[in-house]
Amino acid sequence: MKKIIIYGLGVLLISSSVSCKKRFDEMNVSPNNPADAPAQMLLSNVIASTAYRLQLSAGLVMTDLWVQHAKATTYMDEDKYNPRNDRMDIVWSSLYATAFEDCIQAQNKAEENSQPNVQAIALVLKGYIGYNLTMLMGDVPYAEAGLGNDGIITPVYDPQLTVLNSIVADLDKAISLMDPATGSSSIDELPKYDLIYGGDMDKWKKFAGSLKLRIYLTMNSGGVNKTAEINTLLSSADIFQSNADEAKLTFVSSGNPVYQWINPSSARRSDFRVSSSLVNYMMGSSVDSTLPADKRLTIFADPIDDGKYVGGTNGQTGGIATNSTLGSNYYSYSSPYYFMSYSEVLFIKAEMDTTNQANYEAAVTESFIQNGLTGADATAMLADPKFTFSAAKGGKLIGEQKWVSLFGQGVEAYNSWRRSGYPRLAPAANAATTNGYVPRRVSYNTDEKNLNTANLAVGVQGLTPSSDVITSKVWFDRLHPNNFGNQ
Amino acid sequence: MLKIMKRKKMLFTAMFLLLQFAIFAQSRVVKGTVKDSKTNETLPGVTVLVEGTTTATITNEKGEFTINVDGQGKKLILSSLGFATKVVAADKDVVDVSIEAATTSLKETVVTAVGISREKKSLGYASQEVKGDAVQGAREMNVVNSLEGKVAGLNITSSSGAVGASSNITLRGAASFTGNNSPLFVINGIPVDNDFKESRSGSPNQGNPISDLNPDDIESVNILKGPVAAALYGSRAMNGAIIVTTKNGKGLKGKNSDFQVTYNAGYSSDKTLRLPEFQNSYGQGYTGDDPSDGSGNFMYADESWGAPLDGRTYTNYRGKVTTWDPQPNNIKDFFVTGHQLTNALSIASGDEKGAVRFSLSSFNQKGTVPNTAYAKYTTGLNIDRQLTKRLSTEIGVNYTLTQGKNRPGVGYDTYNPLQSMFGWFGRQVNMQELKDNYNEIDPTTGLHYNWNPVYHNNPYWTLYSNPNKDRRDRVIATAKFNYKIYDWLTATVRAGSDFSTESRFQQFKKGTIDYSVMQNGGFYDDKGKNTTANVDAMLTGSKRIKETYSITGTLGYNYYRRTSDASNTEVQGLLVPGLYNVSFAANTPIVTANSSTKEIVGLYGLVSLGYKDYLYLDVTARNDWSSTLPSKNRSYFYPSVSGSFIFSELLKTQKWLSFGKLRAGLAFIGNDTDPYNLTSYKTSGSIGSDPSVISTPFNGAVLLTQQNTLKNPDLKSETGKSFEIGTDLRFFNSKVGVDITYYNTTTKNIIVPVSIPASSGYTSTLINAGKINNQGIEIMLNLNAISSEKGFKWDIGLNFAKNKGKIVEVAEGLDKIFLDRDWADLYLVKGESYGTLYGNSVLKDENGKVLTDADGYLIKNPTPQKLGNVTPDFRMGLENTFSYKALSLSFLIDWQQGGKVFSQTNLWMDYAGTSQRTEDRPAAGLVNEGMVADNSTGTWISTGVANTTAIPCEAYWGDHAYMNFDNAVYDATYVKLRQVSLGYTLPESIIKKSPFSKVEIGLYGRNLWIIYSKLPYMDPEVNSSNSRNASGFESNAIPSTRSIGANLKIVF
Repeated sequence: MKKIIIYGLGVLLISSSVSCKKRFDEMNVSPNNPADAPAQMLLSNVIASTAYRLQLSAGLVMTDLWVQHAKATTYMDEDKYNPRNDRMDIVWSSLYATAFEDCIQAQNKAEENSQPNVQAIALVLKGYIGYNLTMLMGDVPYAEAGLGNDGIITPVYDPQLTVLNSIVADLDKAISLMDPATGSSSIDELPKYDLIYGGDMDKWKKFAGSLKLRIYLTMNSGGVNKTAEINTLLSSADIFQSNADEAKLTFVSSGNPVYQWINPSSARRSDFRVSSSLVNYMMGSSVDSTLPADKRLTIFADPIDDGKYVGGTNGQTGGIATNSTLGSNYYSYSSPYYFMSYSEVLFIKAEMDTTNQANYEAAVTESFIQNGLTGADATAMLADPKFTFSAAKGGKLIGEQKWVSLFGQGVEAYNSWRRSGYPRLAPAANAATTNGYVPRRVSYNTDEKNLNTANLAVGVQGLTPSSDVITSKVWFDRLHPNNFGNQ
Repeated sequence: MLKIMKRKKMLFTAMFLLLQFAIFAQSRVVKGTVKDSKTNETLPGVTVLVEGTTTATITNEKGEFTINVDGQGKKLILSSLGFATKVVAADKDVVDVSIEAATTSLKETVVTAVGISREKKSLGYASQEVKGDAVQGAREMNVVNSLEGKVAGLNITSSSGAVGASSNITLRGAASFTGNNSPLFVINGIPVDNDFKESRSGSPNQGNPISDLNPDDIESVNILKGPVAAALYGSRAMNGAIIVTTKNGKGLKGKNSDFQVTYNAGYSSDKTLRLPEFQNSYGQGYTGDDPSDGSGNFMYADESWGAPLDGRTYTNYRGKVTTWDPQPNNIKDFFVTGHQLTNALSIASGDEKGAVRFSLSSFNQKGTVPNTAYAKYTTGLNIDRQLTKRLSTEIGVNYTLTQGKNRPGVGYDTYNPLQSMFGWFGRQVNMQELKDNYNEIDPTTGLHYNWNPVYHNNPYWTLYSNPNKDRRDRVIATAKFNYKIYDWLTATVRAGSDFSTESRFQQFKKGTIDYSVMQNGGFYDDKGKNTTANVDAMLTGSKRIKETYSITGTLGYNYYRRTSDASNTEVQGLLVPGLYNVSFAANTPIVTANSSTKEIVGLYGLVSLGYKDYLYLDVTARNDWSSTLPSKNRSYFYPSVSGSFIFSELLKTQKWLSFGKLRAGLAFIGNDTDPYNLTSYKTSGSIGSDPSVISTPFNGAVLLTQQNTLKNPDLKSETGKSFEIGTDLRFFNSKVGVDITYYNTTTKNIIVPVSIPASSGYTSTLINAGKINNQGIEIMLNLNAISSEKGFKWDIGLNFAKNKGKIVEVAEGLDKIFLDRDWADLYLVKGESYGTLYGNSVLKDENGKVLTDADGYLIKNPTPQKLGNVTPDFRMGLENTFSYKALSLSFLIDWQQGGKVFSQTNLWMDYAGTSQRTEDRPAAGLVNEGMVADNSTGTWISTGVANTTAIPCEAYWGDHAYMNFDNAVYDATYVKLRQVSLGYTLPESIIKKSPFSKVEIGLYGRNLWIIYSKLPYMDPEVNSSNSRNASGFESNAIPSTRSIGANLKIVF
């Protein structure tokens, strides 16, 4: 017995202390999540999360208010130009750490596995995210961004023009990689994971081209003349040719991100209503507030009890029962998020020649069709003296109509407003913190201020004035002589 | 049995003979009976010595003695093992004496690390033992809470007054940053699981697993306070260890000492201790909304800035025409009286070859929040047996079933019904109407009627239509075999497992108001399984050399494995209303599953040297291999050395000094990390949680995303060094006892999740960087103030602990790291104690006065400001026990000094205009007292002019609360009457005629009175955060309860 016990203990000790290296190494591999995955599987999350952040986090609760498409009824911080830090921070941290990083991972993996189409889509999406970040904040990391895995923890900030040029280069590279013939190859599984086009690489090509239009237009505003490039693209087939080409994500299995916030079909949250700036503009010459001259308002907003469309003043608390909710057709469970619409391309074309009536009317008409209305509805609206084209006020009308057409795409509407200066927006009521100006940008992320201080300081130099506040202007915006719309 | 009886009889016969002999020789006879002053039991075997002589006797089986005393003025000296020596005058013929148990018996043995029993006096570190009685009298659902205020250095924060709520436990402060800072819990030698269980963020608190214990089963709880004491447990005991020993049927006392049945019944009634005070002059609405204007606007507000409650007529949320009246008691009426009922039965039997104990218990609790309940059923069997001359075994099996019914959510969360009652509320709301009609559906929206149709659910809907239930089945099994190879060498094998399954179900009835996707019904169905296995194999040798030296050595091997599996199912929308079955989910169920496995293998050794029973030295060493670390850093070694010197042995002539010991120890310790922290994985992407907004599957595709934490393949173990020195002094026959410990523990290379710029593609990474130092002092004082010969006694026990924690280093280039967020942020800040609050703040001038703009409004500070540190300065407990014969009365006062608490209850009540403070609403508005500032330069600069511009009251209080969190941060100091208990043991005279060997009756009150507090409205002790390391947050906490109860214990 004694011997058995002593030997037993001895065997136990020896057997356990014999290298458990292999056993432990295997044990410490997560059974729950993959360390490695096919590149295309990362695309769907990029698409879904980007849509969520731009439509809700940077859109409805921030830029939708600042471009006065919507107004807040309660919790007025953002609507009074006092945006909460965490609201601004989440846009940056989520777009970079989730969407942008996944693009980098997908791009590298696709390159490694020779999946050019997947790589191309990742590049386009990366460019799209980078464009939105730089437009919202100013100079941002792009070349060195998303490379934490490679040891770059504190990436440098690239000047906005550099960022825009890099995006164009990425888009060009993507276009060159795209191979429509193999777009739906079974290896890539794009019909499943490409939630925008289901692997239709022709359409991706057009999306990339249309994005270049946006970027060139921005460069123009910043004083770098890209008119020739824009005109070349406009006359090519490399951009959206019809509504069928538009880049959008339709929510099928889970609702549109704003649905839960403002879905008016049931009395859920009532934090937002339609802004009076939008309603008053779209009424046109109509004096009957149940019959707006611009019929799109009946899509964008729901009437209040007596059939009237009534907007509320930005910055003023309340209006739950007295102001129109955002449209039930627009913010329904399955409403799409537009990455970019065909009508925007037509508006860019119109902007290039503000004396061209046909371009203006074509863009407006397309916007009606995009919203499920008819050409006749557009014609009726264009007959309203307020909206009827004249060469003298072409620039103003185009700017205003583009602003209307970008309803639901708050960030791009905000970009367009800063580029064109239209419409002239009166600042929100009680907007003390910006000295009465509509914000011109979103502040940098708080962690970035604490942890990437030196690089951020360089980035701040790209702002006018060089101060990380929401009233400073980003590079493309700086040439405007004044804070138009803020007088 | 017969044999024992025979042997006992022989022994006593011998004693009587001795006695008889004494009588023959002497003239004056003194008789008497000796009893235990506490239990009133008669004591056999007590030595009675006539002072200054060699005349002595021993009490008989009935505790009686007869002794001859020669001459006048003599005294009798009574002594017995485990009792304080007592001297009484022998001036009468009958001297009945009560002697009392020594405050701490000098021969006392305690269970130390890895289950080694040691003589307490030989230990070179601080440990404190709490006897089972202390947790069985004034009952607490959670055994741990019974230790509150009784152990120096043990810090317990209960999370709320909800049924079955958990408690946050630390010993000597936090040793790590964001990891587990709770001490290791060990039951009968087996480390058990005591991690918080939270299946979803904001979900109800399912309590610490340690609360699964049946208090009646506990023999003793020994608290090994620091790393020196717990060094042999290795990495898991970096935060000290709490060692629970359960009863096993050995050492039964009293009439039926070979077979005993004990029955215990307890009942208590619980009421909310403290409720907020509300204003009763204004009703629901924003900016004076008039409920009678027909717009229905007021209803969309969840605040009370509406029209004055002047009795005007209006149509309420149910379309009922009623009057606009105050409802001063609406919140008070919501709460009900809670009950706790305990029944415990145990059967024990023992002889010299072993013992058996079987126990059954039930605990049923109904909460003060309606329709909430908690139940716990336990059964246990412990068997000790000497199998052969050399082989003995101890086997124990415990099964516990806990069931929570509708545990309310905690914190700022929609599951917490108080979120919509304390702050977000209309003061005109009639609670009875909500209660009577909670199930009514508004046909136009399809949602249930509520006073506010957009943000909140009717609290009764939450509790009755959307209930939750949870269940945990847990088996703790241990087996130990001891084999005496030689008389000096013993082999021990101990194996144990802690196995539990958990489930939690939360339903959402169709018609739920919520900005979520649960309006069409849905549910969460979460399940989990945890298994911990632990095996120790030890060889222990012990030798004594010439009575002068003793040497004990232990060599051991430890294997530890923990696995957990969890699967969480979320269903949004039901095809068949009311049928909560995943088969009938309207949308694809969202299922997440997680498993983890971790193993640690350890080798350890202990050598104890003793010299003449007054000088002891311990050296321990342990090496662990953890599966969670990379292979190159997997092995880590930590030694410890400690010693004790009982100097009183050298000062035996100093009668006033009963015992004196100096002790000191130094230990090194290491700690590993959680599984899967070395590689960044791709996880299922989701945005929004509980319920999810975007999640896999999304439009038929998997959402796969790179984890936001950049994992570190080079992680090392955390390392710590701890030094402690202390003394244990007893004076005047142990009537006064003082125990003082100073400790200094530094942990470094702490695995820190540090934020990194998100532009790197990751938001955080794990590094070995942090360094934290905890030093402090613990003092325990025991004083027997009065001990009269008539049996009156007054004992005072005081414990004091001051821990000064300091974050020495966070990480290179960083001065703080993020810990938790609940509106305010909690950070670990370099140079400060654990937990610093940051939050919204306004601009102030150099004198600390707030700045206002020209319109009289406060100006937001763009950077969150420091609000204060949550760590208290010290804690103190004072226990007084008075006893007279069989009657005893004790009360415990608990004092916490300092620390800050961020009270969201106060914040939102001010914001929403429900607090009593907001009742005064001048028409002209209120003035922010501060200086007017100007922003024309782009920076706000004080103009030097005091602000006189009034702003609306609603804006004033809104900004006061939400822009300036300073106003919601309070000093957490409190003094509390924690416990009062009255106990009575039926006297021998009555018991004698009964079939019982002991009957005890107790009355008690717990959490009776907040004697002092600076926090308005709430119990300052309640910490409503669910997170295991976050303290200092109070958020709509379920109020703590005042319990008054009675206990009956019968021993057959």
